[in-house]
Amino acid sequence: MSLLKTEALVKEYKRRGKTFRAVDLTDLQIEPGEFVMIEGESGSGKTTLLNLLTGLTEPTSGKVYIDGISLSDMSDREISEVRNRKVKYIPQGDSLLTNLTIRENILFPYVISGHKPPSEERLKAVASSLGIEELLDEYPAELSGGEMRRATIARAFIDSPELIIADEPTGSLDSLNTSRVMSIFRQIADNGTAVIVVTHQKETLGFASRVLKMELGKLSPV
Amino acid sequence: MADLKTGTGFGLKNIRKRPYRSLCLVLAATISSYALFTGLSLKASLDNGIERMQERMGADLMVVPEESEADARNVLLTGEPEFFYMDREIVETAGKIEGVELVTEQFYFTSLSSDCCSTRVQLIAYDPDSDFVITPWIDEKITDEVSKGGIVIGSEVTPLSDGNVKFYGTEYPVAGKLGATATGLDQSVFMTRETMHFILEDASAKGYQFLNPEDDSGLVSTVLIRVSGDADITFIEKELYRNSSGIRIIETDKLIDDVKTKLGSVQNVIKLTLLVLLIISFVTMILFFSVIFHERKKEFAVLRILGASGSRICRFSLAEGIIIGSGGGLVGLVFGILTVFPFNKYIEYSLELPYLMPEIRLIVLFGALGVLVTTAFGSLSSFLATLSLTRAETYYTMRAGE
Repeated sequence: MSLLKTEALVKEYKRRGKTFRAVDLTDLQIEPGEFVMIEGESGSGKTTLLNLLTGLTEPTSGKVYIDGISLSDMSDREISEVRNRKVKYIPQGDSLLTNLTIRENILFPYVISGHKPPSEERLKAVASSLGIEELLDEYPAELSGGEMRRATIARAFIDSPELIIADEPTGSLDSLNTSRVMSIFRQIADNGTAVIVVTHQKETLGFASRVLKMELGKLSPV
Repeated sequence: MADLKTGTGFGLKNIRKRPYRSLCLVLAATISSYALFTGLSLKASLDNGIERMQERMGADLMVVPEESEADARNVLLTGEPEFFYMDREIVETAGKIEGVELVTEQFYFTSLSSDCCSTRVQLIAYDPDSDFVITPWIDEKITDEVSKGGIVIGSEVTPLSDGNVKFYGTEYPVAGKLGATATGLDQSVFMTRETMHFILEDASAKGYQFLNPEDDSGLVSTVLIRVSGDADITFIEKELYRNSSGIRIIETDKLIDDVKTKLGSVQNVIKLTLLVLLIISFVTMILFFSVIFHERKKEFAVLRILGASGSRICRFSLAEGIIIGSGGGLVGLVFGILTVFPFNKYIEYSLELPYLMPEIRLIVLFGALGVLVTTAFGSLSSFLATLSLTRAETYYTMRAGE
């Protein structure tokens, strides 16, 4: 059984009275430990696809299965639990909670779930691997764009989810940090976590075990 | 992290990190709690005042000199010291009319607000043998010396440090204190006719001539009449007017009705003001929360991404609403207490209506109600403001928040 599977997934929007199909997929399957990168032009439907895969957007038709269970058969609470424990999503841009410190931001999913947070050692190890160990007690407003991005990535890395979905995670990072983050994604995938990354940076495609191209809402292998 | 484990911890952190925004919300909550507490206390004090006044008026009819009706009303309602006199013969006349159950007389004069006297109050001489108005309401009997120069004071009259009261240079022991009546009687001092003679002599010696002290036995200020249950009050009034000239009869029921009419208008204003303030405060809170939560769309979207369900997000916002509502409610209550208690007398004088604070447990209940309603306003408005955000798709909420 695949970790993630889609079935005739379609998402349509209406623009000025006309229906516009943003995503139109035949089956997509992701296995544990796979590192899949999706490239494509702006507006090709990449972000919409990721929102569909994480249950943040409802499809017009079709289904998304996580561990064999359709998201559309789950309640809001169950989908939320999936996002909290199994599928970590790193959205585009800055997504830190501005009133919390970086430490609180990274550990906040545990506040939501009520589960025991990881040890301080684990927190520091993840922060250190992303070069933000010294920033744990700072607030997001005191950080640069790149540092905030790495803090967001640390929040997804802190526990061991089954799947990490990231939308241009290295968009605001320099080449050194881009390489550092991609190496960590690779390492995580090697340890059994599936990773889906949407990127515009062709130089990072080498980290992936499979590369897909998205065009007009459709995915094709590269 | 420990303080974030509950919705309250997260809410407190959000409130602390945005002090000005939070202050505006707390202010709206403060207004509603303040309005509710002061409004309800004011209304209850007026209700209590009229009830006590009605209960303690004692007489059904009050006969006064024709030209002194307004002065007599002042003595009764506001405690404004006055003096006026008429022939004592009316006491005998009233006693003979069929249907009159009890008759008693009172003699009014005043003290001064100078060194000679404790304070300027209404001095009322009554007849302990026939009295049915004062004696039943002596709340705190201090000595049995009323008949021997002792004085009974109204609930708002404060004796000197040695427990006496001083009028025209002479100190008199306080024999008893009346319970609060919410009338001018609370600021009056009562004595027998014998004691009155001593005071009038002292007053005369100091140059204050109310009347000739040797010649006061034929005068009274007011005659108070209680009518028997089945008697025709109109007949009694007609008989009094027929047999006596230069008098005016005040029906205490009508006096109370007049007060009630005035009270009704004041209470309507209070009710309307209270309602308007509550609506304004509630609408302001909804608008504030809506505007603030719309500014925080991205934050709500992030919470969804991190795995917070719609109901969990509602709980987070609810916690903020409860903290702000109850915090503002408590602040409003403190301001309310600081208004209602210290300015109690000022309110009473301003309204010129019977005003008597209700029992403390009722005041506590109003305080609790104020905080409770404001907390409910805070939670409800934050909940309503969150509802639309949790229903929208997270992707759009995130985009809209950027």
